[in-house]
Amino acid sequence: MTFKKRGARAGALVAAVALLAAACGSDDDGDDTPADAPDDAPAEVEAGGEFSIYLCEPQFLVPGNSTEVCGSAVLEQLFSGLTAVDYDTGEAYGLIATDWETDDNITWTFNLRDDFTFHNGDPVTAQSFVDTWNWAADPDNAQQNASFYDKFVGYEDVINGDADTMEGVRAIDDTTLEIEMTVPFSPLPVMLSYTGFYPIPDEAFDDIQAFQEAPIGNGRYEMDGVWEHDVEIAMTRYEDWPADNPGVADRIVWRIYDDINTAYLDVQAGNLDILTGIPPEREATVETDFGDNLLRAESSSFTYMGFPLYQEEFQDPDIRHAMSMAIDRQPIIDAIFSGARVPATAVIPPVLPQHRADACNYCEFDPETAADMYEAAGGPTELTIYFNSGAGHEDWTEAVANQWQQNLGVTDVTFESLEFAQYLDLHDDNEISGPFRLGWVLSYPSPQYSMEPIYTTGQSSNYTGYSNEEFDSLIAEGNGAETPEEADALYQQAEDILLEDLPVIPMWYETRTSVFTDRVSNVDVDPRTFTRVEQVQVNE
Amino acid sequence: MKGYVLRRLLQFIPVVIGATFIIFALVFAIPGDPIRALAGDRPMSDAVRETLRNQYNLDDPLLIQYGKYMLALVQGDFGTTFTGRPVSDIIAQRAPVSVRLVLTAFVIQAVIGGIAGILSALRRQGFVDSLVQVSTTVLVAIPTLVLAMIGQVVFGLHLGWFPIAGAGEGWYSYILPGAMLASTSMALIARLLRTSLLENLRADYVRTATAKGLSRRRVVVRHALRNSLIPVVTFLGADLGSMLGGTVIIEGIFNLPGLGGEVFRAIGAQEGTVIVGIVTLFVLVFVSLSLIVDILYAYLDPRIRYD
Repeated sequence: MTFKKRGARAGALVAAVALLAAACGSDDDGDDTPADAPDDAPAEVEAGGEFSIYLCEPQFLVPGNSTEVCGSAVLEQLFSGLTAVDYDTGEAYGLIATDWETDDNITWTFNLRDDFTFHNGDPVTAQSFVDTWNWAADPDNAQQNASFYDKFVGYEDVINGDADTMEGVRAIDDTTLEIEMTVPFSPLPVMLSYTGFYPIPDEAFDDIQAFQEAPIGNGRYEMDGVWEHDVEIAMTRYEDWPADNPGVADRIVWRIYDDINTAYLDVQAGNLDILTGIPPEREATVETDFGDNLLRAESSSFTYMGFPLYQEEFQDPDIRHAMSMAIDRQPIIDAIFSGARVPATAVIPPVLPQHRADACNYCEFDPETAADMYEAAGGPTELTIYFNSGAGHEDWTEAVANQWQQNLGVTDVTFESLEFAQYLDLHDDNEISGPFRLGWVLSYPSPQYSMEPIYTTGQSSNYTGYSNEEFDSLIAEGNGAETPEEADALYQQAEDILLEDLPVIPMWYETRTSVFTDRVSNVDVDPRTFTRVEQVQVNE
Repeated sequence: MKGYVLRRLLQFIPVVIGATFIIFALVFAIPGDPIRALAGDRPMSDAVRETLRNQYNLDDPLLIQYGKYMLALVQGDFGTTFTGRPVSDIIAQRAPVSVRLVLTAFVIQAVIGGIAGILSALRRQGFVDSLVQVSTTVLVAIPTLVLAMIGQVVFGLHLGWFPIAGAGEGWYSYILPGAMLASTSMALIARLLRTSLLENLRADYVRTATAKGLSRRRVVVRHALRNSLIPVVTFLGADLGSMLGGTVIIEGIFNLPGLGGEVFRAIGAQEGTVIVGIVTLFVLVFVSLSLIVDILYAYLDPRIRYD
């Protein structure tokens, strides 16, 4: 059991975000003032107190390098970005940026506040962003989030060693930052809310390993002591944080657990205040265990069954349609996940306003049509199903296989369960010969990010080998659209093509269950599955 | 005796070289790129991947990788994890946790197991003896994993006597996990000592000692018990080694950041340097323990001599 949990974490690395899209186009005169910062804290909230919350051991505590939830959850309290996302309306709003403008979605000018400081007192200026991003893009520094800069002009030159800095990122003065993109990209302000774009102070560049043991950020909370590996990370409220909605609690202790089952017991015993993402096997009893101290939140965490389109037998779209229609998702969700999933009927997740519940024509269970279609198209009677081992995919892939056997006349099913590293290697070598499971979580809340990296031609996360020129150009047009409404319409058209071609079978979106003690209230979880810890109130 | 100890110490060298190489080769043989797996579903750029592969010598052939590792090792550099943390830091932080856990377990099993064994041998077929017989059977039959989870729920959650997780309360935090780790061995020690003591109590030299008019206490403690301890000491020595393996499960359940859990994580992440560093430490502990056990024999039984 212990083993399974660790595996689950390894398999589900990712940061995330989910909600609305581009707040910014170039309507009227090109001067586009972003939405106001949300007033998150209810009026009666009383500041103060201390609480503890579950955390898994982060891989890194450097914004440019943190791609998983464990690190990002901590970093987004220690750091503030140019923009942030209001999780009620789903819009990007300026945090360090006061406003921004663009005429063509290519050249963007961000105006910055001058009162943000790092926890060591250094001011946060436009140059801080330029230096941080150039440092993170430099391949010698091996920052995993570097690829998020790939649409900035000059990124390629830095990667190839032809330049030290990205030409497209310029500090005009202390409070003006100019970003030039290689292609029109309207989701930029939303993308900039992501962990990988937080600024780090100059002293970080001297010794990044030492820096991440006690990161000096510019966020609502500052480190209290150092990162005690595998034990805890403590932070206190940074009183000089200048924006309108500072943290509520005085102190937050992130307690690091190896196994979520242990954390669950600790919340039951009152030793730990909040756990987000309870063990799946606890879903059945969590209501008796916690009563009202329970929160279920939909997330953007998407599971799909991809097809290796480079294999002959999956070329015919009817075969893919039939295989999707032969799956009755809800009973699998009820039996295996105790209901903690939402059947997928689209690829733009339901937590985004651009989601359409009826987008997919082939996601409803229809065994008769599926069987006829599969037979007519000459679907294979032998299937090999691929998934990464030790991450909790054994049961549901078997259930799906059973349904294919029952409904499609598939006679032989083989399971290939591989360690994650080996699994990815097989993908790289195009050696997958049957349906495979993979997942996707939004790092920033845009329909663009829910499709472009996985389905456009030649992208690194495009494991199916799917390629459709019309789809590619619709995404590009959406990225260059003048208004958010236009962009959304284009993204949805792209989604329609995708759901007609069906390179992947959309399976479900995860519902994240959180439990907490009586000591805290106002616990909320955003669609990226991050607890809004800065809003949590301590009752004392 | 000195010569014997020196010879045994010299044997450590080939043992360490052999162990490190075998483990290194095994990690090398695991298929798949660990750097890819580090990034999860969303791949990192090729440039970053190349930098990291170079940094950790992953593109070198096995012997070169091993050579580089050993070269750094003799200079006192244990290498780093794929997230850049020095292995020496990890060992320094985690070893004390594992040592405390194992020591707590060791004391619990030696004291409770020993007392139970002696009492049941002295009151053969009495109530205590029956109790020990039944309870040891039960303990041996339940897997440590199951016992630990039951113990955690009963004593940690429902009764609230011990902390459920972490080492926040000092030595007290180690009592419950230590007892769970010790459970099987404790039962085995009780049975081993009981059998051994019963045998010795019937031996001629005990009858002689009694006939000489020695007190019952002196006969049991100085004569019978001392001779009965030899198999128990052998067992305890070997058991300390195997307990290091048991810590993987117990540390995970009780969220103690010790070496066992780290080895488990490192195997999943294919971090050769971490696995080799820690497992070699385990090997050293194990061979040292068996040396200590051998020396103890000579003390317990004067007939055993090393020259």
